[in-house]
Amino acid sequence: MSSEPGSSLLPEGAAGAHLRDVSFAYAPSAGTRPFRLDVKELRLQPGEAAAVIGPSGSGKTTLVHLCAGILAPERGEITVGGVRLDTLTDAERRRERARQVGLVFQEFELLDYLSALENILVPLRVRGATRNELRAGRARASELAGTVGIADLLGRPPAQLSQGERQRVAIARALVTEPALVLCDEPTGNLDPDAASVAVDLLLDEARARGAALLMVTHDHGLLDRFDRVIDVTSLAGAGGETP
Amino acid sequence: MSGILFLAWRHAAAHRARTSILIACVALALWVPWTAGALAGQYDGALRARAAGTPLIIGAPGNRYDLTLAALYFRPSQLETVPYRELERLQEGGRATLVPLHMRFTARGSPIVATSVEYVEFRGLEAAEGRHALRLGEVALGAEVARTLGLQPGDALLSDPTELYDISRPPALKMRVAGVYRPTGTPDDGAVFCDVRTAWVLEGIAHGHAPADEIDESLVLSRAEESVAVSGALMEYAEVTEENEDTFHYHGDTALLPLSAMLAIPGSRKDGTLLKSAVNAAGELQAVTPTRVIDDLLGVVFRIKAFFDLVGAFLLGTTALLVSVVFLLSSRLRTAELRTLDRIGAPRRVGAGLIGLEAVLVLLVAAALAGGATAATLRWLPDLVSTF
Repeated sequence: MSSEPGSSLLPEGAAGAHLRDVSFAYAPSAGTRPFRLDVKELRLQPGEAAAVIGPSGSGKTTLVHLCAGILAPERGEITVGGVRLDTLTDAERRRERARQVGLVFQEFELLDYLSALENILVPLRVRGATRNELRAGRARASELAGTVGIADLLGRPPAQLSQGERQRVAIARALVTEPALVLCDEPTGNLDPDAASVAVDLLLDEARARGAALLMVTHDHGLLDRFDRVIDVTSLAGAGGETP
Repeated sequence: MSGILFLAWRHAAAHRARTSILIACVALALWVPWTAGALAGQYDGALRARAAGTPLIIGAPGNRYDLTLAALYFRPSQLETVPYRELERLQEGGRATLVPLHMRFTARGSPIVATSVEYVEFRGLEAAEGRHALRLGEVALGAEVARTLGLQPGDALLSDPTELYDISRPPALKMRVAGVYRPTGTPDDGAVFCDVRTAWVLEGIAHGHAPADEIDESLVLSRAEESVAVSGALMEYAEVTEENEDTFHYHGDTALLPLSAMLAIPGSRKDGTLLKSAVNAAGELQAVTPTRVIDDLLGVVFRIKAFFDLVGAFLLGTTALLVSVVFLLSSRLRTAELRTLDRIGAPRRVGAGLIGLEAVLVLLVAAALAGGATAATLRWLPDLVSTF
């Protein structure tokens, strides 16, 4: 393990994610209670899927944002896909996020003026992918669309898709860059139980098939047995926060 | 940047109505000052070119603007006439070639410019069809007149009547089209050219009728040794033909036949200066240098244009503010989208980039449209310039 800027805490060549001695606090503001999240150590191996649970306001989304590099820790080390995020500038973290991290949100957050295919390719667009990268991305998007069952819907805008179909587009968007880490913030919150079950299975299958570590925030305890690990965010300050 | 440009383009294309309205507003705000500026520029160029190509104009004392605009652009005006003998007198001075101009009549709305063959040579008019108007009762048409009226050599063109209630005179003269000139992009394109003698027929100073010995005796009021007085009921010829051309004659002193103005083409600058000073010193006529008159006139016109420029700038500024408000409101509506892009890993200023690029796209399309509309306006409104 190295503590050099930009180097990985994981063994050389390993992807996945690793947080160590991370501490983060929101700047105090009037009317809000102070919040602090401490993570002693959290390691996700490539292909490993972990669910994050905890009460509202306990820091689940903050943990996701730290792993994504959306938030920068006050101290500690965060490594994703072999790159130390905590040592990078904001612009560098953004580039790494677009390259190494796939995100699935509760509201799906598709762009209404793009087709399903164009939505899937958004992470490539925003990172300024070259023509060749886009061509390869289109091929991957088509393959992903076939896998998640939306191959014949790629030309449709989100408004013409069902909730479940939108979620599949969002899943394909998170995976199209072949990220080292897939972060999901309550991705099944807007789906009925059957659709939620299908969506989680899709995410787990696709992330594992592509060797990506997966960290999913969820309130749906019925889904937890499908994950390799379940992490209670309130226990992360201790020795890993893993539930039995 | 290409990814953000793509997103900006797709957003603009997806919101067609909003984008179209914005483009229309900006295009309109650009088209008005651009067209006004281009037209003013064309006016300026055309006016100065015509004036610069005309050394000296001589006419009766009076408004020098009227004299200049009438002689250069054939604008209708009530110029005092100049007797033909003045042209002969100045011609005898030998300092310039004098070109007669008579411009009191119209034919189907186009000015009839009665002149001599020297005018045709001076302006470089070339016949595209037929020939110049050399004979009495013939006309040669400017290209635009021929195109608009659909006339060609051999056709007839009636002059517009000016004395509707004088039944003793023919209501109009039927003139034969002898030729059509090539387009020149000048007021000559919109004129009907004829010989000055034809203008005097139109004036009623010259006329043709049956020979005195063939007139019905009931129309003869008295006969003297050298003259015959006839009734006003005697019909004058309303058309000059080969058969009746010789019957056309003048009454009164031919030296007093009227002209509207004269163009003077001096042999040298010195001759021009001497001629101008001599004419103006005598006081019976006035000689003007067209470039100076047009400069004075444009000075007034462009002071007015400056006001319209200000209005155009105000219009553009107001449109820019309104468009800014639309984009500002749009950025608020797109907060969720921009947050998503931010979280996915877009550059920090993706919002400004997206909205800025969309604004640039709108501006570019609007500018292209405004440019096209300006070009079309200039193309479809050539008469504003060539006929002033």
